Amino acid sequence: MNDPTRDPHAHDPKPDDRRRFRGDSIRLRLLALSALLIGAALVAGYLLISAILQEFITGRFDAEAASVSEALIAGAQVADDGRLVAGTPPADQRFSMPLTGWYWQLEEDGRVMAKSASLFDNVLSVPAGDSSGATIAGPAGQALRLTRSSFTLPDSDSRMAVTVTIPRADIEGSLALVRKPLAISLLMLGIGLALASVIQVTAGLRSLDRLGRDLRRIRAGKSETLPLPPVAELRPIAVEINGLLDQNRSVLARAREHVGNLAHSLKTPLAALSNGLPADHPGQALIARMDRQIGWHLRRARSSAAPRLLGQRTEIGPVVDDILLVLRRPLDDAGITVRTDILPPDLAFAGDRQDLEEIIGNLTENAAKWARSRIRISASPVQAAGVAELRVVIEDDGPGMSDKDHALALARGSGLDETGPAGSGLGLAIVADLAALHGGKLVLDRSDLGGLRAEIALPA
Amino acid sequence: MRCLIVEDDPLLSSQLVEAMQASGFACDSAADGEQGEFQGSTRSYDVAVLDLGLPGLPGIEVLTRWRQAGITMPVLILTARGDWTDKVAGFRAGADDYAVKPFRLDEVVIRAQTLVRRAAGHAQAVIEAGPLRLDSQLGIITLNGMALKLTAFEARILTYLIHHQNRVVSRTELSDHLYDAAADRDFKSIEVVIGRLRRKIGEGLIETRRGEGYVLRTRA
Repeated sequence: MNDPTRDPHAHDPKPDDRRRFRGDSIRLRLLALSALLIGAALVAGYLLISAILQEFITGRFDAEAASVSEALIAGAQVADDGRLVAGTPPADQRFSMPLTGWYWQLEEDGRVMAKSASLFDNVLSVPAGDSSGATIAGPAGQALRLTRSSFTLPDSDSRMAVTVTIPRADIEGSLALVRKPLAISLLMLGIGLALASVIQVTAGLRSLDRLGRDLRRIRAGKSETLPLPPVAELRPIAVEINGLLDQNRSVLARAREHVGNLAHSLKTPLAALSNGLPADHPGQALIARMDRQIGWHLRRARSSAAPRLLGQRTEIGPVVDDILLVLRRPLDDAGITVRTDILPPDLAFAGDRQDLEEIIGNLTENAAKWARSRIRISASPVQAAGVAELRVVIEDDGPGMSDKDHALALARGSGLDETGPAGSGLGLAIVADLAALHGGKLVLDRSDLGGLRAEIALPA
Repeated sequence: MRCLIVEDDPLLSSQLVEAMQASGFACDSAADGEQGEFQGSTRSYDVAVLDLGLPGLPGIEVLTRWRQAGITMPVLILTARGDWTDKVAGFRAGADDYAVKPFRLDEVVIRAQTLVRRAAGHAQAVIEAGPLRLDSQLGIITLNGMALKLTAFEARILTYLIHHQNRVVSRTELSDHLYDAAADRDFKSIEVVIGRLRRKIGEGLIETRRGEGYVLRTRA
């Protein structure tokens, strides 16, 4: 016997477990990937653009220094005493204000012959060789970019050199001026791209979300087939799932039909056999036992497959109406009135109609057998530990049972070795069996009407 | 009373026919759905016992066709599965009662008798007709409290007339419900039996309407 008390909903994901972003979600992976790529592209862009800008700005400053040094070379001449003298110094104020970092000096064979006023009484110590583009420390401690040109004059054999410096701080200042708007605009571009990818991923996954929702509706028994998604990529999946659902249903229907046919082919000869024997023949007990075994296996074969069938939803109201249609005559004969309270009216059981018919049918038939004048059938939804359940209560005003008999009634028929006439008091055991198959429970108690109160909890 | 038994198992079918005949029914039987549907819709029966698991046309379909054709005879269904789905399907198709296999024959007979009595509009097992009383379950008819000694054929006619008291019952209708399909119909013998009945229960109760039939008159 495979485990009948297994909770058919144990492997249901609880709705609140489905957070939008889990570590293993496609959405998170796509967003992380696009964030990574966008970030890397923007950083690389920033570095590249600022390198180009730095080169450009430095070039502009170098050009300025070069024109100053060319003017100095053009103005330089050898004085009558053979010493190098500068021509007209550059007009730029920055070369005359003290310690601005904008300096020039003229050298002849390593000796400083003339220098800018901004140098005050300092001398630039220039490393030997062609050190254009090098950075040196200035007299006021500033970092200076250096431009140095060597030249000779026609009237002298000495090696002349002109050195012009620009404070690095001025270059950095100009760079900072363009880097800030660059960074801001790249950041805004990044935000824009990130938003775009969120929108893209959300839009792309919406049809997947809808597919999930539709599947959950089937699982909850609210629909039988998956609607075809509007997206071409998902349509084959939906078609396959619908195919599986159909197959599942038809396999189950076939299995039930086979079991039904088996029951029929066994029970008809059994009826003939029973009627061919005298009523007190010992064979009658065997026939009754065979009959019960067939019934038990029939029920078991049908119901153990049912919880696995997807898309099951059975409204309580119509089933109660059908059962009362069958029992109407015996109820009328006995003068028993039945009150039904089913709230809400569309309350539904998440399971097979046949099982619900067996449960309500057997309980109502049992109540009808014992009731004096009243039966009450009520059904209402209950929330038990976050799982939607429904409770069906069937009560009568008959003699009821003692607590000992309650336990006894539930125990009967649970095994196969029952003796005694067929159909006597087995109804309650059948219901208890079915309730267990659906993860529910049958509880017997005394009703305030006076008789038996049978309460059963089922998945809603 | 005439009854139709539609059951494919020959042994069970003959057991049912025997049991029904023993309690005063004239019985026809059919062994499959098509035959049963045809017999039920072409001849007039007081009750039908219909197995749901028939070869050919299923019992539910037979019943549905009968009801669609406006045939209102009471129908007792026999179900092997015995689950509520079968019962509900049967009642929805128009069944009046059910018996679950394996059943006791006397249970089926009592249920069939009850259906016949109800179909004639009598809620109680005992039907009164003036000085006559019919206990439909025991099949006993009393006159002013004294049990009547009747032959089987006399009892059949009187039972039918008691069920349909104060209404004209034609000879054809009467013969339809007295004989099974195999028997020769004989209006003459009906007239003879009616005459014998009049002597046993008193002249005034059964009136003859020329060209129409008979009335068991129990009220003015």
